[in-house]
Amino acid sequence: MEICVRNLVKRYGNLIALDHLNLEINKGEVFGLLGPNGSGKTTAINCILSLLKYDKGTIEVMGRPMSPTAYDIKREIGVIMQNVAVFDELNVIENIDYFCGLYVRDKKERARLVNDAIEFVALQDFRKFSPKKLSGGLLRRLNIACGIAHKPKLIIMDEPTVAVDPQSRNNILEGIQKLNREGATILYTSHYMEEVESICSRIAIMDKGRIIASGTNNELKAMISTGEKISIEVCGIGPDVTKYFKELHGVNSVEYSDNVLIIKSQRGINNLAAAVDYLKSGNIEFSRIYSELPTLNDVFLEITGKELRD
Amino acid sequence: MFRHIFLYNLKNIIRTRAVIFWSFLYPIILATLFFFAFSNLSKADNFEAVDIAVTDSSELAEGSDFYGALAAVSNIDGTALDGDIFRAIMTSTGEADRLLKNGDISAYILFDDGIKLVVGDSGFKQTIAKVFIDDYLHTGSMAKTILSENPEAANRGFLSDISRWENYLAQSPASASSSPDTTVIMFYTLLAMTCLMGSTVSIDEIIKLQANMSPLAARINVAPVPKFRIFLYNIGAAALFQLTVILIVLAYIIFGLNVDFGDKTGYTLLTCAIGGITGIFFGTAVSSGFKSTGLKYAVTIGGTMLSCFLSGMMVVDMKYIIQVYAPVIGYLSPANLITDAFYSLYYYDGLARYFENILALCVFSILFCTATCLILRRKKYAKKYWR
Repeated sequence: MEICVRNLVKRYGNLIALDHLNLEINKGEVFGLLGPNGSGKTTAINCILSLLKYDKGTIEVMGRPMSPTAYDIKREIGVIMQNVAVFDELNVIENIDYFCGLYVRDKKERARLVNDAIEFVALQDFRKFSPKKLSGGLLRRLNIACGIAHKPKLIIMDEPTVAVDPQSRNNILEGIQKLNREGATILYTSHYMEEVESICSRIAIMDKGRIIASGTNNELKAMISTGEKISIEVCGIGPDVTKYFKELHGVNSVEYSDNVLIIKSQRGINNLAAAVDYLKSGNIEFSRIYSELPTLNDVFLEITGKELRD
Repeated sequence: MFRHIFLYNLKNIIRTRAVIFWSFLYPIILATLFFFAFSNLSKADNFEAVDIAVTDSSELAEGSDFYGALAAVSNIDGTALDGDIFRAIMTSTGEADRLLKNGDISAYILFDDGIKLVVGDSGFKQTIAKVFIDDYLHTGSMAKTILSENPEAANRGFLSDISRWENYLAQSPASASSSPDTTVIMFYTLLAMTCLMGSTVSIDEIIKLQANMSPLAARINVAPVPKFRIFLYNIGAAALFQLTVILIVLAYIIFGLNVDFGDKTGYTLLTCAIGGITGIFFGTAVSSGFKSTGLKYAVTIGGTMLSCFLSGMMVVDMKYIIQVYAPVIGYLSPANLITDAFYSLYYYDGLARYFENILALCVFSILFCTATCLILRRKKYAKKYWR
């Protein structure tokens, strides 16, 4: 096991930031920590990295207790902070070389690793650029390169795609999967459920400092009663239409607002064909109809009663 | 590892514009302004020989006592050399009167039933002439008294001793190689400020190491290198930068602005080095002690400027006032200690006072360094102050 957190409690005054947090991350997996802002993801990471004091609990990394002086463990860890953490006065290659040099002493080996990292984040054309002259997306890529240049076995990424353009985001997400294929274990935090769904092999959902659900993507979705969600963009329907859909087999709820009718069915029930037939037979004009499977947001919504991005 | 961290940190410091301004350009700009503002003031402080006339008289014959006394402090030919008190000429009483009325002389000495001083006005120059004559008369009176009570003194060279007049300006406590100039204190305090401005460099060195202060520090803290090792290497780079800056500013003041720092070059450099190190550790101590970055800079720059003010940077007399009325504050002000070290090198031949200042600066450096280490040794933080 790469990370094992047991009953971790962290308080800021009266606020309980981490409430008996338990976390187990296995070697070779991409573990997603999903939760809204303020749910305790970054605090958990800072405690795991021994940057923050905590009130209670134990933290083991690579089977050994983690501490500020556990340099043998730290040597195997790469960290990508939520905020860009680079020297403004050093250029791209100097920044990566500086941080890589804190882990790797051999100059030739370091030069090779720095080049690999630059290629990995596709910053070849910006080697001599100052961080101040890089766009937000390129800066995030530099931030990542500084964290992974020394080829760590465990990579901790704290919301690395915040405020990043779609192209850079895709580049970053592909990079994470590549690092994982090369053997790195990854702890990835985000409040973007799509990202977590697409790259993580296991996910834990956090709220108010606690893990409220964990498992694979499918396991999490299987935990909730909601299955198919049908959305119909239609104007001016009467109560008889909503009444019809409410009476369909296995329908949990029907909502109509902003000219969109949403029908949520129980897991395993498919009402899309019945809905289309009804609209056609009743000559009800609609612009679009589509069906979605439940998302992690639905999981979060059903467990906590609020949206993930509230 | 040392070379890697040291060189990158040095590169980082050199490229930081705020550091270059406060540590290097600001002292150079101030030195230049001081030079233009105070160079004339310095000239105004130079002593100008007093123009006097001496009326022709048998009492002023060459070889007479009074002639000897006057010749020691003037040429008696209308010219004056460096260190002469009077530019004296011998003339008639009528001519002396005319010169006095025209303002060409400040006073004249008349031999009429004894020595008399004729002045047209009262002032500093007239007072100097009066003091000279009073001193001559007092010495003569004293000699008469001594010889009447102890005639054998004449055989022991007493008369030749008291009749030997020496220019008292040559007996100033200043170093033999220096000429007194109060405006140099301004430049001493400026150099003291340059030394202490090293604190602005070291503020960043601490911010880079306190994981609760910046994401950069958090990243450095998760690296497998002990924090104290990085601290030492970073401070080494900061000290090298600061000492280089001080030397450049010193060279500019000495060679560019022609300000005299005396001839004890080695001690001057030692003062710069110890002052610079005090400044560096002052910055690390303040930076460790305060959480807000703005407050760190405010306390450091404010403290440096207050210390410089108390040592006479803005008002030269302040140094004297502090020394007389609140000497403890003088000892607690690093800028005053550095200024006083330069001052004592310049004005005193002995080194006791100089080493007293250097010792106090060393004590300050040790205290600041110890405080930094005690605060920095904290390995984990209760909360972070960046978002």
